[in-house]
Amino acid sequence: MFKSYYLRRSFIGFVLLVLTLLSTHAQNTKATLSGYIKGAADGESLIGAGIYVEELQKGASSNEYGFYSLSLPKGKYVVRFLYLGHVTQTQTIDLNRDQTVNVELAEESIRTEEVVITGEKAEVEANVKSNQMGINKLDIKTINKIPPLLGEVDVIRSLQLLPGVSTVGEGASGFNVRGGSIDQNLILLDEAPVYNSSHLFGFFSVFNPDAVKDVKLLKGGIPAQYGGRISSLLDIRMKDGNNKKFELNGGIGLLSSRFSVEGPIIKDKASFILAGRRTYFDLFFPLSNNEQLKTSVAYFYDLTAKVNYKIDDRNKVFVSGYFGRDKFGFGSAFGFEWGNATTSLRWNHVFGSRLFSNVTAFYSNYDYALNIQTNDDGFNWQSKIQNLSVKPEFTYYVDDKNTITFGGQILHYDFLPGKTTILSAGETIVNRLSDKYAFENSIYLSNEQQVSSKLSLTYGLRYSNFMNQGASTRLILGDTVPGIKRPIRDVQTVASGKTLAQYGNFEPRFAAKYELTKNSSVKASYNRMAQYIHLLSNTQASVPLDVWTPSSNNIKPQLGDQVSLGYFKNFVAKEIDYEFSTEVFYKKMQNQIDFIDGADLLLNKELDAELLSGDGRAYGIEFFVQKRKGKLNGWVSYTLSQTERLVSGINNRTWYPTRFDKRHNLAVVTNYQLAKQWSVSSSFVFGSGVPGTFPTHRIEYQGFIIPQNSDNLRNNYRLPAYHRLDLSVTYEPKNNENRKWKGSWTFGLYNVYARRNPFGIYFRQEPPNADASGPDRVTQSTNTQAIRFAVLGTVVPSVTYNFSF
Amino acid sequence: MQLINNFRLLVGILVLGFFTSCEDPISVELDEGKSQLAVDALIKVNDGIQQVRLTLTNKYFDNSKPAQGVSGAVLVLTSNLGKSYPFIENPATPGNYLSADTIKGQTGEVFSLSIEYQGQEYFALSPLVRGTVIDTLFIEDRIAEFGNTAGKFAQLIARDSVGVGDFCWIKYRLNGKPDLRYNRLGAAFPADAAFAPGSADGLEFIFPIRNSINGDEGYLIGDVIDVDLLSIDAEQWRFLKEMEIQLNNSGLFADPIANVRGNLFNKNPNSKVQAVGCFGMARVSRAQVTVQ
Repeated sequence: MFKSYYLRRSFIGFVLLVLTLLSTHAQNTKATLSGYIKGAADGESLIGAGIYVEELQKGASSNEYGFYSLSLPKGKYVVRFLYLGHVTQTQTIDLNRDQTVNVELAEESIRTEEVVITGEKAEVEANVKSNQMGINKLDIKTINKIPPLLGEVDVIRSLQLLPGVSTVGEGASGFNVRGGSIDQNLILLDEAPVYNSSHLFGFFSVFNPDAVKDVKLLKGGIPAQYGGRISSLLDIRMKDGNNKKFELNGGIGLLSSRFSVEGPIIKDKASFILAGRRTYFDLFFPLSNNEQLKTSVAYFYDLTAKVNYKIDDRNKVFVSGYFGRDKFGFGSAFGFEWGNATTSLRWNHVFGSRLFSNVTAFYSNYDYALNIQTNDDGFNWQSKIQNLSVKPEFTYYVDDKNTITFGGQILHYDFLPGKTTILSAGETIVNRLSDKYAFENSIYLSNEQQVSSKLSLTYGLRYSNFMNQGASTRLILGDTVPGIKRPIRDVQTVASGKTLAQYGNFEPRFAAKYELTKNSSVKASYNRMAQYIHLLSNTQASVPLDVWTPSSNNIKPQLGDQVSLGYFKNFVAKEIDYEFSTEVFYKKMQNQIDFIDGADLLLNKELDAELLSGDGRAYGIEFFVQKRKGKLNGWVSYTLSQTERLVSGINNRTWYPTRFDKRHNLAVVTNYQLAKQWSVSSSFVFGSGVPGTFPTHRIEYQGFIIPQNSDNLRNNYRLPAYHRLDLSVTYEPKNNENRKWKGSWTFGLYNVYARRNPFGIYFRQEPPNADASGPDRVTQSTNTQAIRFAVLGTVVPSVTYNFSF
Repeated sequence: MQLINNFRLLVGILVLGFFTSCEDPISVELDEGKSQLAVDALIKVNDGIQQVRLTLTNKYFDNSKPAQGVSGAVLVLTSNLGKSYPFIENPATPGNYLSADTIKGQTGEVFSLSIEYQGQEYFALSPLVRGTVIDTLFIEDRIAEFGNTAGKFAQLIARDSVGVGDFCWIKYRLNGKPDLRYNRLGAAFPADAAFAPGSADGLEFIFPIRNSINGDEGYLIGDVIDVDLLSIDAEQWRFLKEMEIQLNNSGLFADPIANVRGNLFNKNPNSKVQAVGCFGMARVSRAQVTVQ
């Protein structure tokens, strides 16, 4: 407790110091232009909108809350406000003192392409002009156009079409970024972390597209304000809710239906959004003739709600919540459910015109329960991870050359690794692995500096500190001997509030951009990230039962160092508008977790003894070309990469490819406007086969045949390549101008040529002859075979009706 | 882990039923690798003449012949109480080595099997554990519910002793032959009455274990079921657990394919040659039931 007290005190001291330094920065000859940029139709704040001063050829962009601030020499300026798909607004501003200019940009209708170009230009320019590299943004309109699986528009599936992002296979939850495992991605929904991003075991992601405003994935050059995972940050922002008028949106699909309602509570001051989604194939179960099916449940749902209130020009508060759950069961005999819940409360405050602050407090919970029950026998299993956190953040727009961000976070964890209740013949036994508690606290400071008209830098430092606290037990382990569970030398009791293990890490961040020409730039970045919590999963695809565990005296924090270098170029002409980027990266990862063969990860009191620790490395090159406008638009993304591990006790201590290593990864996404009412979309993906471990020999033991790799190799084979084509056609009937109701139909085909992409290859004894009967029915063949397992080996059609009112 | 396999099965029914997952045999080329000495040594006390089988591992897809028996090895079973039982090769069945008579032992006695073969000396240790005994074995009629078919099913009742660390292996024969239909290592291999050590210590075997001597279909009238409840040590149990994972590996949540770790060591720690397989001592409790 003393440590966190000192940490808090030093943090406050640090903030005061920065503020003092900044306030001495006299700026009598300058004035500040600041305000919010919003959409005119719905009042949604626009993230990353451009502000451009013609006379000075200078610009800035709005932050995650739509706020901007620009300090300029006093004078009269023509200022343009621009945002993708919106009409550019030009204002003449006489800036002789600090001024607040709030702007509302009207949405462009798709047909008037002439004007859209300017708005797009702002967006496209960000590619070249922003310091940030390793970034991919997807707006919800783009995501909506990608051919969906079973009609479910999906944020995470869409991300997998971007360079540097891949997946182990169909139906696997999560995603892998630049050779990192799925737990190395920090997924934030309105600033609160989401611990399991999947519905239905991994087929769909948990985010309702109707409630999502902005999706941003950072793969490298991650700024100092983010930390806690070593591979990427996925920042998902929910819509604030239309504060001009009421709006209903929805969709009816084969698998689920969605519905959202949003509108003003007080016009231009307060608004809300409420969005829900539920699958309904189980609603047909009661109609079944099958008695067992009648009592079964199988569904998922999620609810998203958000309210915002603008107190005055300086203060705005947001409350947002997410609640999602998957449930499966047969009557009262079997039940299995899991889900995330998050709540975040945010307060934006503007001090003067140059200091923007946001304070977020959030709660996040992920839990699951498995329940099997008959009369006198039963089994119940529960586990959870829970967070409470406060996160103040400040952005100080020092002058037209420097923007300083600083802040910190106090994050508390409560892990329930597992609790089981076993009922056998009427007797009950409860086993509970004790709760684990931890604090992850951090402070950071970063500056974005325009060194010259061509060169700009972002440099920052983050310090993170992790404390695993009692009450718990500290396992003292002997040395690692390959292939054997580490011996337990001692078990010590750690009292409540005492520290079991503590780690601190300085995490430097650096990014630089040099503009070669008006339309091209090179960028370089370095970041170090520390990760203190780990998802333990040793199955091919992560299961909802996988458990998060904190760093301990035996489990060291994961560290990731990444350098990347990129070239960015825009081809802008009247009718052509391409954005091109290529990046190379090298990532070094320390303290990567692996497992001794046959490790038992669930409900294991001596879990630490079954873990192995090693190094990882990943490197690659990414290419991305995007065409944003015109009847035919879309992108091509290609990644050539490799990711490997070196772990004592695996693969004879030589480097081996990870389970998610894919050499080539290609995605081609297109959208073509056939006619006013018809558009066609397609996506094609090709990925090299992921590796697998194959045996060489067979051991005969007590009549069973056990596969054996006589050289102890790991991932020594490649599965066949994965490729798939998806198509969809959208029909938007002509709108009756007098009717508010708008509808559209989307027809989709997933896996058009029905390829059986192998998810895995397994080895087994041939099953006994199914036709055999009588005493012979027990005999098993001693023949062995390799089995290809494909998840979706056929074409999957879908139809969805979307509407808004 | 059997629990996980049950879970996988349920997942399979619930989820993949909605989609169209498929499995089909394919042909793959495997690495050369090298053949190794494989040891199959499950020695039961107070149970007559015992056998150890030594083989050389075959190529994984070599389906044409059973593994070749290894002749000319020297096998001795000794204990820390000074007992010594030589195992002599049966000339009629190369690779099968037999004891001269019944092996006797007491709880806590540690046995060691040593094998000399082609200039290498291998050994493994196994303590004799206390025994869990069968209470009853009976047949019951069941109605169809929750995905089960109706029919005649067996139940095995036994109670775990108080104290963590009692491991068992339930093997059974149907009409005199091991029932290998379900690839489940016989029936089940409980730890402290459930699937993980300590989770149900001192209880009656939990329902999935009592029910483990059954397949998907009920038994036929006239079937004879013989059950061996073996009490084994922790290392053998771990070997079974890893083996079970590899034998039933499939689907979305498969475990990575990995070698099943044996318990044999080469006496020369610097030798590159290793033996695979498992040696273990066991107590056995038996029961038989005829379906009527």
